[in-house]
Amino acid sequence: MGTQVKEKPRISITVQIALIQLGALLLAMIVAVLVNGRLIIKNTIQESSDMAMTALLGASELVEDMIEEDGCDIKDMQGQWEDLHKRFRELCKRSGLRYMYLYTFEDEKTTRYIVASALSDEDDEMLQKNFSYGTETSRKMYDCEKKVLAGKGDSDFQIVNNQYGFVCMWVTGVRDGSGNVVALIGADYDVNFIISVLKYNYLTIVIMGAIVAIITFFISVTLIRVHIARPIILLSGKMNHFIEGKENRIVIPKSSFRDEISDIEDSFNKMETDIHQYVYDIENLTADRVSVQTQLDIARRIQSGIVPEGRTFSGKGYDIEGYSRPAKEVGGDFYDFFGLDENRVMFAIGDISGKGVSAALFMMMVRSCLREKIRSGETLSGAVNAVNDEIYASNPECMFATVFVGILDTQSGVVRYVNAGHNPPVLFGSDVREISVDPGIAIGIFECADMAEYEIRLKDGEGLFIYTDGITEAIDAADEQFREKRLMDALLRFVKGGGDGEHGAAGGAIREVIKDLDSFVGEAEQFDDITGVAVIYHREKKAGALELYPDMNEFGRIKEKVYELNSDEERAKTMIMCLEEAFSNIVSYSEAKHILFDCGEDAGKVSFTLSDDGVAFDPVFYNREIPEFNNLDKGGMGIALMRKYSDSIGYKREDGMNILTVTFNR
Amino acid sequence: MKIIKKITGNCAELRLDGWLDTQAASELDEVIKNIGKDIENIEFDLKELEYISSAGVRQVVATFKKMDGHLKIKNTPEKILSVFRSLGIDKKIHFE
Repeated sequence: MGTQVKEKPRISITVQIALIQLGALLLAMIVAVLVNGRLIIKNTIQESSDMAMTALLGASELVEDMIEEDGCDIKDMQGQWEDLHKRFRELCKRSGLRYMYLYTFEDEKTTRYIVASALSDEDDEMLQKNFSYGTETSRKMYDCEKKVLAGKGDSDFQIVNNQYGFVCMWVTGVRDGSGNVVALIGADYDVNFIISVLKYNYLTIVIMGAIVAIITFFISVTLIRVHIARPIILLSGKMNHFIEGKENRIVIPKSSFRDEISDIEDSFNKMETDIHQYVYDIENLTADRVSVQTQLDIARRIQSGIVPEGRTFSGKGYDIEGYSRPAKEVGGDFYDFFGLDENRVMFAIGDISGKGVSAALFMMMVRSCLREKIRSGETLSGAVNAVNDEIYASNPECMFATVFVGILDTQSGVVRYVNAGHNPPVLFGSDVREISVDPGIAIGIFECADMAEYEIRLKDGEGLFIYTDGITEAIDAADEQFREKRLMDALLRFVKGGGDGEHGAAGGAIREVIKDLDSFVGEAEQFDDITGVAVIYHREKKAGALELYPDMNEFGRIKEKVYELNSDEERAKTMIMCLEEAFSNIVSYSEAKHILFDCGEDAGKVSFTLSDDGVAFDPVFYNREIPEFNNLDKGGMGIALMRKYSDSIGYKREDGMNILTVTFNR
Repeated sequence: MKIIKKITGNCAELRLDGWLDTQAASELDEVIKNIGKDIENIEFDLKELEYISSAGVRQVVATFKKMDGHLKIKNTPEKILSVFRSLGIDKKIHFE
């Protein structure tokens, strides 16, 4: 079984973009704060050092001026204290310094303060208490003080954390006229102040950055929403509508520029139009196909009305059956038969070049034309030649038809036929053979084909099988053809009385052939129309005629017939005596297989006919005299009796039949 | 046909009733062939014979020849007799 697809969570594209943006902004902010933080620290320290330096420079110049110009001694500055204290406080205020003080080192461990000022009044009060003029304190010299004193730099600084606060102490030297450092000026920046400035600067940057980021975020998200997400959502909706087959009313707003989304939209619009067009085209094509198929079905029904799969036509002296199975819906084969007059039956088969609709149309034309010409009363050959000329004259596609057409005389069994390029028929009766016929010329190829008609005489029970090459050239799965041999084998089985027991019926011959053909072909595809016609001639038996087997037991049926005709018992017996003689002669000597008995009455004159298919024997010619008494038991007196008791005896030999007629007058 | 056989000493009387046609003639032939050797005379009673065919006539003539003329035919109906007459048989065989 298929793995169950886990439903994925749905996150809208706007949210996705917003989250990505948010992440990117946060990252940018962190980087900016980190990078800027260093700069801020650096700048702040630089700024404070600059301020400190400016203040120190101002202070040192002030003190140096006092020493050089006013001639003050650094060791005695009490007179200047007031002024310096005031000036130093101003400098403190201007530069934001916590303390500023002037002092000297008496030795390495003793510091002597000259002036000490502070920014705030509170601090300044504390300074005046602890570091008033001349106050000496003992403390260790800081490294920055050592450096400046050693003349290794004008100024230096150091972070100092003591009871007076957590400060950054800047130190510069005060030089006398000869450039020696005579005193030091210290300027202390409150580190907490610096940190508070730093905090302020940091916060300002972070807040401003955050504001910018938030504004940027909203602007960009809005822009993305409007220009990217919304069109994509609309496009997706449009596509869904299309998939669901709803009418599409979604309009994606046009932007003033082109981008990938508008490309997708254009492609989709084109695709949608194309698909609508294709669907429309396919619907039309399907409708056309259905229409063509319907037309073909109608054509097939019309054709199968004219050339049905099976049709039987029988009457006095003949039995005809036709069979046709087209390979496609409509076929190019046809068969036809109809009664021309009381004693003549026309039958035909035809095979049109090609298959399908064209062949079917051509077939209809040939068939109709053949019917018309044959009915017009012309000779058969005249009719077929007329058909040929007419088809030839209206045959732009140069199609042609092979046709075999015959007319059976139902009285005599004579078939007059014309063969127009069709394969020869098979004669089946006592044996089965292909009859050799003039090949003729297919109809529609040449003008004035000048085809001749021929004649063949069918014996009682004999038949002709005419067919199209769809039968003999039908192939099985191994591409082998059915061939004439198998056709004739099937017909032979039919005449021997095998098969389906339809002995003597044309339909039996057809079905025997088709049964063999179907079992031969098996599942292989039929590629040509299959058509066949069987025509069997039966010598006409008049009403009341009897068909008898050569057996004396059959004579009872003749007796019954004679009694039916006569009310006079004695006359009937006389007739029976004569007929018994004739019948027993046939049974004993003629080797006949079939005997026909017929009787007729005309104005009291009764005549009987006995026909047999045995060896020729004329009883009228022989035994004209009554034999001697001693030879009577050897026979020969029957004819004498017949002569004696009948009024006339006639004999003729016709179509391989002995026909004996015995007549009794009133 | 019905053949009724009645033997009295060396004389066999055969009554032939009905139709003596080709088939009946061969039946009669069987009866004559199988008749005892001690039979010297045969008598046909044709009183009820309705019909005779040439085969029947032939059998009568054959019986006549087999019995060296010791064949007597009695009660012959006129119609049957006319058949024999027409063949000139009545000149050789005595019909009663």
